[in-house]
Amino acid sequence: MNTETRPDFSEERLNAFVDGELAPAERDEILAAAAEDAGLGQRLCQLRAIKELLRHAYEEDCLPAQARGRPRRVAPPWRGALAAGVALAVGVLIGMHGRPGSDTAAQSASAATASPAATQPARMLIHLDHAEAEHMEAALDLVEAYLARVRADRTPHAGRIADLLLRHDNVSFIACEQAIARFERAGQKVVILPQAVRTRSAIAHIADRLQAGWTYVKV
Amino acid sequence: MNWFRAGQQRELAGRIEASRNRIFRVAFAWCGDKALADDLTQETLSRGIVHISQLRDNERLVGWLLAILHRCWVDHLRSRRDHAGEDVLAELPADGPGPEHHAEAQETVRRVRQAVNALPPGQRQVITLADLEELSYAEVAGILAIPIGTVMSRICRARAALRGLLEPAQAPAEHQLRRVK
Repeated sequence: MNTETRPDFSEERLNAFVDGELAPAERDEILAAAAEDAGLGQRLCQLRAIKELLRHAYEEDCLPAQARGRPRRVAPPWRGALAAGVALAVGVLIGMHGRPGSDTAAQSASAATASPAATQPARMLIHLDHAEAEHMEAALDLVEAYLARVRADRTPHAGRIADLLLRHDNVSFIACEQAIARFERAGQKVVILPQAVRTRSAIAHIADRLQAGWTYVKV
Repeated sequence: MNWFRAGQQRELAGRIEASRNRIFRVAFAWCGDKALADDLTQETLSRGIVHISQLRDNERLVGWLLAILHRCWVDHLRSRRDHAGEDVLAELPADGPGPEHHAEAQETVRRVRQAVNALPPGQRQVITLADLEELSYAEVAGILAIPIGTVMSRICRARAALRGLLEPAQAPAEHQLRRVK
């Protein structure tokens, strides 16, 4: 490195120059100095080049769509769920409401009472974003406990889901298409249970429900 | 009033979902692994949606999400202390020509990403927020909850380290510039 560079321009100041952090007067000062000092000019060029290289390295080929073809870092998330020969949706949302038929939460929330939540029927969204058996178990346990009908025996997941849907008309299973797409890009076959409804984005779905006063539980 | 706020939050939730690619890009630059970046992005957006009512200034949405991403990543690093960067550094090539690489540009991208991954996590965060997201030092300091002076010193050290890591394979500076532009 050229040692003729003026010592008064610290490395931090030169970086700040490259990052556009300096006031116009300070910029002028450095530009004027660089015009007379080739070493300084070269240092600035190098810093600028590193900045550009870094930006270039992440500007393309870097979107979620590119996650294809790579194994998930977690061990096969589907193995457990597939054990019974039935695949469960990843990104499953289990939506429930305690009292069916009331979807006017937003309106009632606007009432002047201090605690609107207390007057609303209890509603809950359970968000599953992994298909490991224990997650599914935990979610289903939660659902059943919530509905206060915990069963002693543990039927396979698909059976439990079908059973829940049969016994409660206020439970729905929703599969996130974004999550499905992510898994398919990673080369995993996704089979959705016939009872599940697809939604474009679970995140958007959760947002809608939260606004309607639902409780959100992530498993 | 609540009704009005609900409408606002719905719009914000849409913007959160629309920020997915930006958050992913930064997450990928930080962790260097696409599957993990996918997970971090998903976690960030989920937390964002859940805590959407805590966002005070709607214009600062992306900065707020990046701060959440920062916490998600710190949580992740804490959960697996063993994977702190040395491994990646060890993988850095000794500048061998490699097996007939078609695109030299692709090779540059790979080398730069490896060099970024070799930086200590704190430097990696600061430099990518400043260069990819083009945030000011003050914004970076806010997102990572560190003093501006720390942002400046980390940027200095990060660029010096990157220069060291990338230089051996690089031709003189003029050539670098010509190729990037």
